[in-house]
Amino acid sequence: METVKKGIPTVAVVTEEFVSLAKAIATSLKYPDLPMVVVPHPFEMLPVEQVRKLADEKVQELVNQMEKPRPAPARRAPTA
Amino acid sequence: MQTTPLKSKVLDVEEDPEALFEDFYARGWTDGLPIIPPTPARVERMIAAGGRPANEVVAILEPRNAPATVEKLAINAVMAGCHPSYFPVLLTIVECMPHSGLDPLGINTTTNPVWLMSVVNGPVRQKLNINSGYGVLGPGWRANATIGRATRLIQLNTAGSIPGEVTKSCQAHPGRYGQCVGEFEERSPWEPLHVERGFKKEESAVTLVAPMSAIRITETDCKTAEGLLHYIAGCMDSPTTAGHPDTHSLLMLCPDHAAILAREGLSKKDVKQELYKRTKAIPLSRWPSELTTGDLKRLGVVGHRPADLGGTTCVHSSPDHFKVIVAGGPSGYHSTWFSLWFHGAEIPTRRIQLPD
Repeated sequence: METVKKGIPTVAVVTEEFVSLAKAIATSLKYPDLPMVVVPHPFEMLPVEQVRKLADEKVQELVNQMEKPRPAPARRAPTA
Repeated sequence: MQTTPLKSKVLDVEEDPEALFEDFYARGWTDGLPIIPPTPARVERMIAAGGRPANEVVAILEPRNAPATVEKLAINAVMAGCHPSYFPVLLTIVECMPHSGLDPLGINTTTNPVWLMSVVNGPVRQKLNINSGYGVLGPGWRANATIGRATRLIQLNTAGSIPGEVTKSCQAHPGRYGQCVGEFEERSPWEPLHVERGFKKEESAVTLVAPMSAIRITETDCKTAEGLLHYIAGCMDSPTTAGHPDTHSLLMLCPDHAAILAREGLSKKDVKQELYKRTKAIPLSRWPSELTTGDLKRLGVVGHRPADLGGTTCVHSSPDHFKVIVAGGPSGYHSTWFSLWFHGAEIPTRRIQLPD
């Protein structure tokens, strides 16, 4: 969220099992539309070659998400 | 005392206890056990017992970043079965929750089994019958059971730590049903935990910790402090409990184990020093050989001292990271060591403010 606040294009890479958690946290931080790329779970135990193959398959989706124009995160209404 | 109108939505639900339980369970508001219906009258009685206005925000709880108002906490307290007199203790527990030393976002979302335990000190234990003796970690005492349960319901309903959906704890732990214990100060040879942490003995306080594991220390034959300390240190020597030296742990000594150590003149500080001395060179061979030095650095197992790369790590990097309390029945030689959440640091202790 710190990169979002700085206006840096940000995409969260999330494994399938953690999508609900990522959405819950993004919503609590007032950014329910945080761009995400979902990858299969788990990948920590995969051999490095398979992880690289997975990264190759997902990189274009990541770039597409980064290039998509997004609304800014919701802000509180200014108070008097 | 309660003068602020309640703001929570009032539901039109069946009075039948089973039907109401089914309703609340379907909404995801319970821990799977029946609840006491939080009627407006019950909630107002609970709020009144806390001595604070219903709309006061006690804490902001992650991950939902929700304001934990006195009213919302009272609702959970009623559901858990708390007597209103317990409410000031619960309010103090919630005040501790956002403490950075606990890493509240982590403990409410992690894959780890970590749960919250409240350690209560001072005269409030007798006043509310908070058990510190036989079966202190188990069922049977309303205060212990329901304060612990209310803590968990607050994590669920206010903080948003929904099992499987937000908290990804792989297996969780029975401690997540709730855990609240009193320290058995009357059978401890040393100063109680809250006095160590700067409070007066006659004050009541709660310390909130986040255990990840509970290791049984059943040692029935050693008659010397040296023997017992050797045994306890051996229980700590494992990859699952060692290797996160910047964290803290809680050693819950039964009264008889504490007596063995104290009768040879050991103070609590001495006990911590002796444990530290015996656990500062855990061989890295405890960890699987497939893990590289890079893995071990990433896991936090090594990299704390140059000597670590020579093949050892430590349970804790300081004797002060061992916290020691006395609790349990004076019936035998069973203690427990709790390894605390490894992203946590110093633990919070707060005075319990009882209403006038």
